Amino acid sequence: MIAQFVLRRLLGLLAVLAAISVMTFVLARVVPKDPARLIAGPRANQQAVEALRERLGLNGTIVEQYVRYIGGLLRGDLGLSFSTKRPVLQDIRTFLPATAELTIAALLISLLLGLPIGIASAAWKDSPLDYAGRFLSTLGLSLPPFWVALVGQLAGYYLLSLLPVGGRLSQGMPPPPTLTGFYVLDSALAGRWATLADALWHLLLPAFVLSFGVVAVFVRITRASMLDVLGHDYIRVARAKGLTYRVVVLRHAVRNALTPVLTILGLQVGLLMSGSFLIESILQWPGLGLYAANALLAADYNATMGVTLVLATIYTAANALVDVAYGLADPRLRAA
Amino acid sequence: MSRFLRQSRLNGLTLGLVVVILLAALLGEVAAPHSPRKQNLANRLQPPSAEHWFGTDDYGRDIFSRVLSGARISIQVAAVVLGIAVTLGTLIGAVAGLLGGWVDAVLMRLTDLFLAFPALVLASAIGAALGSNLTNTMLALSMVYWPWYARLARGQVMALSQRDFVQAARALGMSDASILRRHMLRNILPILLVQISLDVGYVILYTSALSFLGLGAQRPEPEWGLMLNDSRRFVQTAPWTMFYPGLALTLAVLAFNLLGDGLRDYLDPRLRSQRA
Repeated sequence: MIAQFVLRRLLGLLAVLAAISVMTFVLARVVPKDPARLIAGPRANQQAVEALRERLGLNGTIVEQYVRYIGGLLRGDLGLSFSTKRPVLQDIRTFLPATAELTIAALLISLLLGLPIGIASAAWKDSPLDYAGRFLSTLGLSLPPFWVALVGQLAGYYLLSLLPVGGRLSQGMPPPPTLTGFYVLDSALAGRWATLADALWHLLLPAFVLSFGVVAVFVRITRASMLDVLGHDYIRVARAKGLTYRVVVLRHAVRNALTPVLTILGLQVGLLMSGSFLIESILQWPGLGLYAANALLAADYNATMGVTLVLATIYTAANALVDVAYGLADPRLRAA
Repeated sequence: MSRFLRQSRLNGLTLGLVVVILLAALLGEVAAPHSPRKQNLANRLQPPSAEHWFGTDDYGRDIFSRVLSGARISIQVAAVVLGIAVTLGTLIGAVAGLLGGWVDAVLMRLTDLFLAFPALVLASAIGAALGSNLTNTMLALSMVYWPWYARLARGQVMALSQRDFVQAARALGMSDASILRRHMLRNILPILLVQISLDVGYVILYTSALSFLGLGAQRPEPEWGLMLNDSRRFVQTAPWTMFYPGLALTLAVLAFNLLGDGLRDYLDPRLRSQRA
């Protein structure tokens, strides 16, 4: 039963991934600008442009191009980045760990802040604390991440000189030996404490800025879910048995209220990825977001579509994973 | 209207803020004390003063006038994007919900495909493919938003199909199209309205985000995200160039978020916990 459920979800995942590849291909081919002409430059002659077109796989019918594109994808070939002149996959390998580290840090901050605020907001409904929590969550959803990043940079670096201006490590600080690509983890594993402190110091502002919107979502969902649970009969029974409100909230309500939060965890990965597009370039975090922002400006479509494909794949996989975890936690959903 | 205002003290404030933003969108360029596009290099990067309330930017343009005029772009884009997304999405969702079967399956897989991408990632990929300008930004954002309305409409239509009054209309021989037009749309409308008012804020935010990335509005348009991008070089030396466009953007998004929340509570208190 469980194996069947996981298998069904995996097959669904494969179908979506195939569809994603068609979508990115279509987007790459409706580009109005001629990419070969763009790279060759305005002064190149027609012959050079045609040669380049052939080299980039932009010749032949659409079906031929798609077959070539899929064949490349299966071999891990995402084409050549026009701006860095390196294979896109190699670029993505270089930049992905920084974004993954940032995203995970932001997700942790969001959970550590969002869940307690949401729980407290519901437990003391309509108190000043609840109003503050709700105001913070609405504000968090309304703040443009790129503005928060600029204000954070102004306050943290220029005014208070507390935070670094950008990057993952200070200049002159050698990166830790690569195991995971996450500087925080790698430097801890290597026992290089000075590097660890420096990496955390650099991670602080980008991770906080990125977490803003997601904290807000967690506060909202946790609060709504807690209020729902607190209205149930078994909570009243627990209270009637003489348990204190604190015990009822923490032992009985929270456990049941957190399941809906799990379901939206996957969606938040998407929000964080969208955010990384915006704030990495401001805070000079050398990740996929910065790479994508530069690729967008340079009309580097191989890089743009490669990043889009990889991010959509991670996002879809994250949602499928959450789906499976949720199904394992709640047998009723396996049949759905 | 008065019941909406009485429901919460916040609703009055929200409505006031929304009216101010809409007025700025309507009259901003006329009411602005200076031209939002006229350069005056002798006057560049001036701090806020009685003459220039929000200071001037690196081309000596009055930031207050630019912020005020920027409201029109944001509201216009939101109106076009949601106009397309709501029409297309509701139509597709309603057809899927009414017909069911393979039509439903095909249309829903299509929406799933669009939802498989993080919103801004998809919008920037579409924007990049079409080329950088505001029209393409509108198209890209419409493509991001329609699947949500398709899902919403489909769910509502399927739920309404089971209701007695729809069954009765069907028994009387009414066609699906007239049932949809005469009976269902009226029932879906309140939920659509709440969703639209919440999405106005996010469309404004995403429009600015795309312009910030260089994909949306192009210079010298007074678009808030573009102004923020231009201000990046002056964060330290002229922070007002960054502060006011960001504040305007935040207030606009906040206003429509609060309006959506208020409308949701007003139209149906049971909806409160359904969507965060």
